Amino acid sequence: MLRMLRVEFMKMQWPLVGLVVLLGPLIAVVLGLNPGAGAGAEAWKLAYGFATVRYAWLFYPLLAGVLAALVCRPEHMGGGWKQLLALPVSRSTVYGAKFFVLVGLLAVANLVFGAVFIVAEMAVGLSAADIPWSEMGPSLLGGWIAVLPLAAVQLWVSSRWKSFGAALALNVCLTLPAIFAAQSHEIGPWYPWAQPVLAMSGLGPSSAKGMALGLSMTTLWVVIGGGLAVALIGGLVTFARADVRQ
Amino acid sequence: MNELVVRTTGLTKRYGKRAVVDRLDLHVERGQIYGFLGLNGAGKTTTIRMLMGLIHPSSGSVELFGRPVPAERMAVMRRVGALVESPSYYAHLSGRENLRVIATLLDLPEKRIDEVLAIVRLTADAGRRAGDYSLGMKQRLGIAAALLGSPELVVLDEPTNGLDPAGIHEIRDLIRSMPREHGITVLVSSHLLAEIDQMATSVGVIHSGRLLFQGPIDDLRARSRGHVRIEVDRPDVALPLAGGLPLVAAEAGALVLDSLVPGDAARLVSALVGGGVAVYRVEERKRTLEEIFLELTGEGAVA
Amino acid sequence: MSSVDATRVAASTRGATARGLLVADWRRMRGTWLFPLTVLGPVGVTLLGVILFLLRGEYMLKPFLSGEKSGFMVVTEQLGMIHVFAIGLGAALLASMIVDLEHRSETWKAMFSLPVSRAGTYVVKFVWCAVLLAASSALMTLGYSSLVVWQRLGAVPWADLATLGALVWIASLPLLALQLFISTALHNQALPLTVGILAPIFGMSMSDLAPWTPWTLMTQALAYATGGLAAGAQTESLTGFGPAQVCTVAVGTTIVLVLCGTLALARREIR
Repeated sequence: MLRMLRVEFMKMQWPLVGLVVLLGPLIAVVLGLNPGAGAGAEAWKLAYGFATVRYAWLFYPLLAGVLAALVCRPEHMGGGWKQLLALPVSRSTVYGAKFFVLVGLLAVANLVFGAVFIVAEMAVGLSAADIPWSEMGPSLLGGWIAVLPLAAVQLWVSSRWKSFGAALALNVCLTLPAIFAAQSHEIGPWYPWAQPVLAMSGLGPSSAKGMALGLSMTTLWVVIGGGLAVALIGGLVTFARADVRQ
Repeated sequence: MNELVVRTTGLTKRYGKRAVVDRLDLHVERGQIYGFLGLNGAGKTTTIRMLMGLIHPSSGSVELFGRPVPAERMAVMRRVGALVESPSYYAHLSGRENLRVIATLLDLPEKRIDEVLAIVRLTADAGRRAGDYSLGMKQRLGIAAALLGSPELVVLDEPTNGLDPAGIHEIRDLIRSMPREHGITVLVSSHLLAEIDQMATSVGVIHSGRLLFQGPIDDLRARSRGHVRIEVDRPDVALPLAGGLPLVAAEAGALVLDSLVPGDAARLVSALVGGGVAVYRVEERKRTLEEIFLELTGEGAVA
Repeated sequence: MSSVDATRVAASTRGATARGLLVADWRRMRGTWLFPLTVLGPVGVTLLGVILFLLRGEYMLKPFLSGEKSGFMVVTEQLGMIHVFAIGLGAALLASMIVDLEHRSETWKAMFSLPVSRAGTYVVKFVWCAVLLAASSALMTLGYSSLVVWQRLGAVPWADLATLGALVWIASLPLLALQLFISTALHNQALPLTVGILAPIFGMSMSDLAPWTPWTLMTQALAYATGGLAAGAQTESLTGFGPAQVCTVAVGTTIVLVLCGTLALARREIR
């Protein structure tokens, strides 16, 4: 598995992946910068809420789809699957390594987002002393966990579909309804694509009881845990059984 | 009989109703160069994909080194190197980096990469992007990848595709040296009889998914032996003069004989001329692969 | 269907006519995802509308029943923004797919060794994408009207729907031209698609971007057509672009971008 991970790193199209992981959150922050910033801890929280809505509502879930497609792309392009899978490595190792890399990249993207946000807000005059670490930490972690099921779904389709566009189109189609879902108290907690924004920007049910990472425990376990399990197992089984014909 | 390195039993792959590979019993012995011969679309690549565990048989089974595939694929694949169909490569990586990907997975030293690069003569171009390689270089990179893990069995699917004559010659020499110098068993597919003829020791002929012939290359050579056709003005007069020679048929305006030794040919021609028969043309006709296929299909022979 | 056949059609009339080029491309597009996509987009948006009405129908209908909003407002309030996204996404996907046909089968070189003008080839591809987007827009309008009928929101507001469909379509042309430009220039479609899919979503929700960019123009069109009420067209982003401005900007930008793309293709070395 470790070797497989090393190989994944060697194969990655770093210029493209780096561009997406670094530049993406950067643009999200810069475009979502709260213009009317005041001062102190409250201003930080306000700015953070503003930035996360922009970032986690559409951008972060879409990023998961783009990265999933990029992780699979080298294999689709040059007939990599048939060479890789004719080697003494199990298909679940191949798939697992891809998932780990994808999940790692998404974590990096979130950290970049956090870092860029802090730098940008300091640049517009907020003080470093008031950085709301205790809010940002769980929020960034929660957003990352909430995006995992979507990442698993996207890896599932990206490993099967050669077309970059098709996988991304599906991603967008599933992500856009999050705009409505996240606003609704009935649907919001159940729609997986709405979870990142709910987890990150504190838009979820705000009763403090039984909450973790900005989400209710039910949502956390059923929607995120269950969704991740289903998508990961489904993707693995599909991948393990598939005929490699390209 | 030697150990069977590859053995399939009733191997079948159906897409919808059509059987692309139909009840194949392939036997490759250790140390052989096994030529897997068939026209494009005959089912060669599908068979090879099933050997490598890339696609799953509809029925039948595959054994490599006596172990079932794909059930024990992991244990076996270290001993197999393969070039399946068009060569696989990561276009954005250099030739060397491409090999390093596989070497890392197989836990091989960098030195081994240098060795295989030298074998396929890619050392000078190892640093270039594989995407910029010519077709022949990509093909050689694919062969290098197949050889990288020092396998006991090498499976090469149309390895000379897209190579220039010099390249074909090189690859052919390389394949021929494998059993001798490294004890490697080779399964090589091709749609060219002449190519298989020049390197294989054993051959399997596949047509429309069915194995029509399997055995030593010499047996197939015997079948592909040419005919001699002598065009004459009066076949009826000529016929008795060819007495004692292996006559196949007397057509309108020609005699067709099974292959002749040169002396026989000369004697027959002089006999014909002496007998007042005008000889217009003497030609030897080698039978093409297609004709052999037709004959094999006609006999319905399954080795 | 082979691309070579289609190319031959293009060349059949010595120095291919515009009609020849159009027919050739149409043949090439058959059997690809271009046509299904054209239909699937509007179907998806309409289905989303159905789901919204099923889930939150009561809430959405309230302003209509109280006479606050027209039936047209009710259906486009939520769906308008999705409509804009769908057309923007469609532009990126169609542009990428129509040139990827050539990239992937390496038919550029086959085509340009025939008496076919490069500029013509490029413009024809643009025209086809624009036609498909127009078809999508028309279907989208039909989708809205079916929602109006289904939810008994009064007479179908054909004039308003047609304005919405047409104006958003015109406003999407610069984006289409831009995407076709990038997709043609780059062999690797990962980058154009990523840009094409992410940029509009951002552009459209970013109030600080100038109103005339390819990514924001569609929102301006939507804002005008829906009276500024549709979700996503935040009040601060309303610059009062009327149909005249939208059309002028769209046509101007489109011509410039198509010219750029044509020049890029004409100068390109086909390997």
